[in-house]
Amino acid sequence: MKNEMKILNTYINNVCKGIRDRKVKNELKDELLSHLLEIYERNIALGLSDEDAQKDAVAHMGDSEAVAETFKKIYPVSSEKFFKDVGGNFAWCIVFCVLWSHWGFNAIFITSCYLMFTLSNIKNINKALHNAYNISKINFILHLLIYFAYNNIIIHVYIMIVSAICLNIMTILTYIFTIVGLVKVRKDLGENKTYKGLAFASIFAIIICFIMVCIQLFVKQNIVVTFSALAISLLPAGFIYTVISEDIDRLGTGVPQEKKNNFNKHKIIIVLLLVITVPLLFTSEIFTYYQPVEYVIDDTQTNINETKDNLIELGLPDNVANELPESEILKYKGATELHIDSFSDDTYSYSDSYYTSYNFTLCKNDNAFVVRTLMVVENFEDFKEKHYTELFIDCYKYDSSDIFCKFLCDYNSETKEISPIKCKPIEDESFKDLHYVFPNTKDAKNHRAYISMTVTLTPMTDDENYFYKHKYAQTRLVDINNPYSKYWTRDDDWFSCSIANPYYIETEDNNNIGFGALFEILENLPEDESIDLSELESTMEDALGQDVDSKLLENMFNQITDEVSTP
Amino acid sequence: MKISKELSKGSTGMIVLSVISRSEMYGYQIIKTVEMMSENVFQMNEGTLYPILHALEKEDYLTSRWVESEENGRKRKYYKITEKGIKELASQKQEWETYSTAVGKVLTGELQTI
Repeated sequence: MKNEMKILNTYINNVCKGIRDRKVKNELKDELLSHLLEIYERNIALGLSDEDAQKDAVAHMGDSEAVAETFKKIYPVSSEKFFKDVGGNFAWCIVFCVLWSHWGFNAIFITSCYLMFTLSNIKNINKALHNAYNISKINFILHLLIYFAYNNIIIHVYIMIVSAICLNIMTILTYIFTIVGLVKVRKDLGENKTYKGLAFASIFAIIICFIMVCIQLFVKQNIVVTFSALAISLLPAGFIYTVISEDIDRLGTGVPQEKKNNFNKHKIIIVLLLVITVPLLFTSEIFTYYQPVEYVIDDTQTNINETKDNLIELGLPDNVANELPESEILKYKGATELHIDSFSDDTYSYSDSYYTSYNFTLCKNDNAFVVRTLMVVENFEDFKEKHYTELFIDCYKYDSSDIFCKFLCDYNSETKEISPIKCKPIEDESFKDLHYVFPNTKDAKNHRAYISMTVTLTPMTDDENYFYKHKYAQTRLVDINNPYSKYWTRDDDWFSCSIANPYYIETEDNNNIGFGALFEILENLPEDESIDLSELESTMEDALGQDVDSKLLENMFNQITDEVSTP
Repeated sequence: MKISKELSKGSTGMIVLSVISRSEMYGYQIIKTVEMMSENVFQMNEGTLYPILHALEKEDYLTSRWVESEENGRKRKYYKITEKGIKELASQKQEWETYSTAVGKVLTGELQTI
């Protein structure tokens, strides 16, 4: 019938031509056509011809231009808004492409989710969701700026040292913006007044939640539910409840009364569900609970042989176990797991010796684990000759959150005691005790946060390469009386000393100087505050078998003596 | 008697609200109801009515829904007054009563000078 009503359709099209909103336009066309058809059918019943009936019908409406002008005033065209939408989307695509190239897969994931949402035509289907759509863009940007470990934004605030609860600032911000987005959805629903808007808003909320959960799973945020956050979660729960109940009222005649009554009846159930689920959603990522490491010695293994048998059972070779002194064996009492790493000259370009690192897990719970390492070198003499005993005390801890700490320790040459004096980048008094507090990690078993405990006499540096070289350093633990080591002092803590791979300062002319060698030489020299540098240089050249840069030696000597003399 | 456009212009919205406040209606029905209740004094033009309906809906004085007619299966858009519309109608009525009373007094009352 529509195709036959040429006069009516022409009139309707003229009236609606100034309306840009497609939904409004289509609805108005249907409404006007319905009315005109009523008049048309009345005219047909009165005996008018088809053409006259249509003409009379449109005459009742009035001049199409005048009516069109009236509707244009009611539904004005916002060209600024139109270009803002198009331009804004285009700009965001460029931003994401740039981030994509910089952050790789992380940004790809985010970008694809964003584009999926952008191209889903939800906005086109229901323009009332425009506010929520803009908020979602802000939310995505927040995720990119805050959520990734590559950013130098402090993401944790330690609010309670005793129980070590960490407030996750970035998660809170993310959820704030999610709530703001929901507020905008509510506003849009109020304007839309139909079930269709509610349905699309729900879809939108599900998409946002899905994306956020995926993001958080991807960056492996730890999940711990704390009841202390229940009070905080009641706030969004109450808000959501209010939003839903108000929107039902505002949906007007679109919602049958019976459905409204049913909703009122089930409000309590809805509130209970929100109270139960919202804490899981909102608090699990906000709070991260840090449990202090408590290393409890396994008293059941009082017999040396028992411990030795346990170590052998875990995988320590018989010959190694039998060669270890009792004092060393006792260090591994209560070990529950063993992880073996072997290193050869393929692994380290400057190592000609083969050594094996036996990493025993002594204590493990949901929040932390303690590892003690035994390093066995095949040819120690050869190793010692070619790879100078370096003194590093750099403790690196890498976990799923990529937080790492570095301890710089002081070495007392008389007592040979090592004590940490600095901590970087987190300076915390508690770290001086060398007790590590591990954040919760889902896969502690596969945790690569081995502690490398070596003493370094180099000054602290911000050179990234410096840290990178030791990023994957393994824990070494050797007793001073052990034939595998020579210079180490046992610490009261769960690791004491190490033999690490040599650290060289590479000069431009490849004049490498091993600090350990320098230290060893200094140790063997008579105690004399005034040391002849030329004599030292000569001694080092003999020891190293290569020329030593005088200026560099002088600088390093000054640094090392400063470090050694520092209490 | 035909009423001039200028005179009826300001009260058309109030009239539409008043009619719809009694019952949910669609456009054609509104026009016929107004004609009937005003005894054909108000013969509203369709081109006038629909912009008014849309404007009132945009102001949240009305809500609408589509209903399929049982007679011919044609969809009609029914309008219903909202709480906000009821308050607005009451306000406009009071304003109109005040205005019309004042006009009546001037037109029919005794001349009073300063």
